[in-house]
Amino acid sequence: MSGLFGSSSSTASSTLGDLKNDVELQSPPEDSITDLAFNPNPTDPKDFLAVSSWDKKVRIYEILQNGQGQGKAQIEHDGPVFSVDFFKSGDKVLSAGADKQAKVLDLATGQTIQVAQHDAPVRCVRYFEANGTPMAVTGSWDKTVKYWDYRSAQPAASVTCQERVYTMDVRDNLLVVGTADRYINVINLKEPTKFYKSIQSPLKWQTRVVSCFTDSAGFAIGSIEGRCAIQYIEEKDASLNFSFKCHRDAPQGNVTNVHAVNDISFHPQHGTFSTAGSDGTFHFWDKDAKHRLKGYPQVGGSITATTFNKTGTIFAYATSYDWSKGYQGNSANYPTKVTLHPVLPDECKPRPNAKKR
Amino acid sequence: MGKKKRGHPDVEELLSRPWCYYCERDFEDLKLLISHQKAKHFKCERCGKRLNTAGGLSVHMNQVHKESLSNVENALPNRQGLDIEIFGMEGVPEDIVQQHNQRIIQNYYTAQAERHAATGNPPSGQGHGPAKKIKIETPEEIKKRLAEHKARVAAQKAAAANGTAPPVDGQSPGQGTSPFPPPQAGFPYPTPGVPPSFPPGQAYPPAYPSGGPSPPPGAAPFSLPARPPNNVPAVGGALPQRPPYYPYGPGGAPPPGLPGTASTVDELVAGASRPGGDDIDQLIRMAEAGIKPPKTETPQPDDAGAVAATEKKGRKDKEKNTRMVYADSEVSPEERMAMMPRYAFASA
Repeated sequence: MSGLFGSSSSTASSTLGDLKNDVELQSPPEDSITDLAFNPNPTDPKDFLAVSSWDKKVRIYEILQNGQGQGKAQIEHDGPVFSVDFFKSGDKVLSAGADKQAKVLDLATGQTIQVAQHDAPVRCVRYFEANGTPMAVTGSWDKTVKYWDYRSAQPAASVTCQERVYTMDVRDNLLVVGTADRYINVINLKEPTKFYKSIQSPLKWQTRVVSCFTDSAGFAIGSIEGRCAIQYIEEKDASLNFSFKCHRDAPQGNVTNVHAVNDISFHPQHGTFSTAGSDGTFHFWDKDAKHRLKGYPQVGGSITATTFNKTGTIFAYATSYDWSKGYQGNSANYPTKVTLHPVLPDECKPRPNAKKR
Repeated sequence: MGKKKRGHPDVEELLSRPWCYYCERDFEDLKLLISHQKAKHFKCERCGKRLNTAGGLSVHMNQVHKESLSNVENALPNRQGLDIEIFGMEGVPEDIVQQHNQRIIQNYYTAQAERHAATGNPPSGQGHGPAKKIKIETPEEIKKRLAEHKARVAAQKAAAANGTAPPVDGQSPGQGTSPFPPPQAGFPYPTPGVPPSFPPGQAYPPAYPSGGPSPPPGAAPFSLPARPPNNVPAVGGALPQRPPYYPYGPGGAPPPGLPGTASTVDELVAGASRPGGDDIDQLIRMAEAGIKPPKTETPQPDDAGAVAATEKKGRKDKEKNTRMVYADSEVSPEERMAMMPRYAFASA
């Protein structure tokens, strides 16, 4: 697989990875990128990447063999788009944004229909299946999580959270909702109106992202204070919970700049995961060995979103301004781009003799 | 590794001690046992001759004193018989040995339990369990608990005033007021059999209770304990306890030699050798880390640097000297961005 994107290289087994084989996506969004999603259907030989942006659009690219992306379709919203997710079948794309709506695009017909309506901008949308029926779950700054059958205008169910929803992730029957004020709600999608568990984040600062393990036994939390927590759902695994620091600059004098963890993505096959931050770096970690597998140099701007493709051979990361430094941090020539990183076999593999603790 | 001398022996030691079949006394070694048996059980009461076995004593009595021996002297009631030839530990029937060992083990554990009860020490050799730690609450924690308690009481009062049941910990907010059936009734998803070409416009009357998707605002009690007021400064101690420190390095691969990431001894040394004054804490920490104090050059009044270095080295880095690039704990960057006029969404 090292020949992906037509170039091969064998990296030394150092912890510093290199980005020289990374390919930048042509014709990227015109404004900061909020979310990335790959087509998850394993039977589809093609890779489609959906990119949502503050420019009110979702762009869907087909990733060609040489790593280049070709625009395929787009969804237009009336406000910035915050979240995007693929249907499991890979033929429909969900998106949600500041226009308080979620939409679904049928890639086959090119038709877009509205699936969800909230009272405030919709921060997250995720696809899931209830008894085999395709459903969407949306989380909004109106503090609600709503479940939608995309063919109906009314929500199938809804649950009110303590605070504005900032992040959500779904894996199998596990839905994790991270809200403002550091609440984390765990929902079993078999009982979607009930919080299976409500905790306050083990991290001291605002929750930025939650991401479920590939085996849905737990989830990772990233905070604005350069820290990640690994949290298991069941009480019996509580001893495995831990947190670690990341995305911190080398101390300058007696001050260390710590950056927000903007996104966490789990590798679909190895169960290892990536963190990406406002500092413009991303890293691969092995939670079981509690080890950093690889770190990468700065990519030239904050990384706002990351994702793996279905086989875990491509790691896509979006570089754009995330407002972490406020108005002053922005500039006209701040990069806005999506880059595809070919994942080398050894980059994301867990350590062979990982001592399970 | 030498064994710690204690006032009480191990169970193995107890079991290996020789003991007397006739009276169940145990002895330091076999010699003592044999002399005990000769003196107590195999001694002729006529002439004081000490024989080696009960059989020997019987023959002696017969031949010398023309008397017959009926039982062993000073023996336990059921052990007085002459039919068993005992010498030291030889000749003791197997079942009696088992009985004896059983008794020793039982006594041992009883005594151990008594010792533990008396001293409060944990059982030896079971150090894997979490060490019992006396929990001392800091004033902040006590205050926090008080705040939580007050919030809970207030919530209960409020709930009582509303005529609803008081919130139960762990229950989801709004559950009591949810218009949806209770969880055990199942989720009203459409069954898989519903045809995908469902006519639009027609609702799902049996499956979806329409209307009122969320409980009325204000009626949803938070199930989580109320947080203490969020005016805590960045280094506040009133926040929930930190998760256990985990020494991952910082995200960016740091250049070696900087003290903040002193994860290796080399880095520690490198950090320690910075001209950081002769702070006594630093010296102690370095001593703990097994590092000889470096030759301090002329102590400089670079206090800040020294403090920073020691704090880092102590790995007790309490984020005193970290600066969060995005430090707003209330509002996400997206929300701030969305407030800008150019992203304003004008609802149609």
